[in-house]
Amino acid sequence: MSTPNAIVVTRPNHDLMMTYLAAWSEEVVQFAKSKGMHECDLNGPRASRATFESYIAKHDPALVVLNGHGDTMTICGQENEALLDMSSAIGNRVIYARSCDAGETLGPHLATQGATFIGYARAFGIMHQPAKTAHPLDDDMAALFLRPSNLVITTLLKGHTAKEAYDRSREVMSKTLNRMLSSVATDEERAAAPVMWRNMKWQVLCGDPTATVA
Amino acid sequence: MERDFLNTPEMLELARKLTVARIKAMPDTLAISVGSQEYDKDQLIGHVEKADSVGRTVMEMQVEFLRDLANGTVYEYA
Repeated sequence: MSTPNAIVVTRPNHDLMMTYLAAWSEEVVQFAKSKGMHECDLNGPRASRATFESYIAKHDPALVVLNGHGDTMTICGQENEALLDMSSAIGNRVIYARSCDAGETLGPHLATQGATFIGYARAFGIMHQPAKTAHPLDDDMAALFLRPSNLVITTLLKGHTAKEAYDRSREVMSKTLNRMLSSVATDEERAAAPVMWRNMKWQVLCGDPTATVA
Repeated sequence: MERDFLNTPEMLELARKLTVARIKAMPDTLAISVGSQEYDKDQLIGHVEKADSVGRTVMEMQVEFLRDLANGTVYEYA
């Protein structure tokens, strides 16, 4: 039986990058809750294929947010177990994947099955402050990368279309990049510009640009 | 940009020198996370020198950025 307005968020936490993505995803989990959505938070070991597929089947979520390592044909969960691949039947949901490369092949493939996919067709990277790794939410450098990324999700949860969510995120990345390239940028911001550009340039939207989740 | 644009020894060597120089200019207070690992400056330089998969990703990132800056693509998104 489906759960109206459900959202599934996978948050593996087995390495530093995943710890950052998991921490910054708490914000969107709370936001979904505040919008009255039923949030299925697959944190840590719960980000397994069996649990993921069980939640998809049980709750029929309109929005699936995947944090995890990936390649062109796979998105992973805890300990890099494949959660979504070319054999998955994900249906006509909206998917946002903070994963490397999956926007190149897997995203377009899922779109042919009716899904709407926002993700990255090249490596998704962040710069961060090594002194802040114990407190990812206090890392101002990582925030420059993860705030615009979270905007994809919060914009969708506010009822906007996939295209609007995609554009809103890129708009903020663009503003941040412009600052990184300006004369007022710090050395740290200037050094981070190629990574920001990479995320921005290779963020892709596959499928129905008018898809909504709320 | 094609994934395998570092496909000639000359291009690879050029990208390697350029990327190492840019990483050396980075502040020590930063690290980068791409894929499953985080890398500080010295580790990044090591990967670039070896031109392994991490090194090639970083080289692609730097060369692509500089190309797109030079040909104006970066500003088209602004």
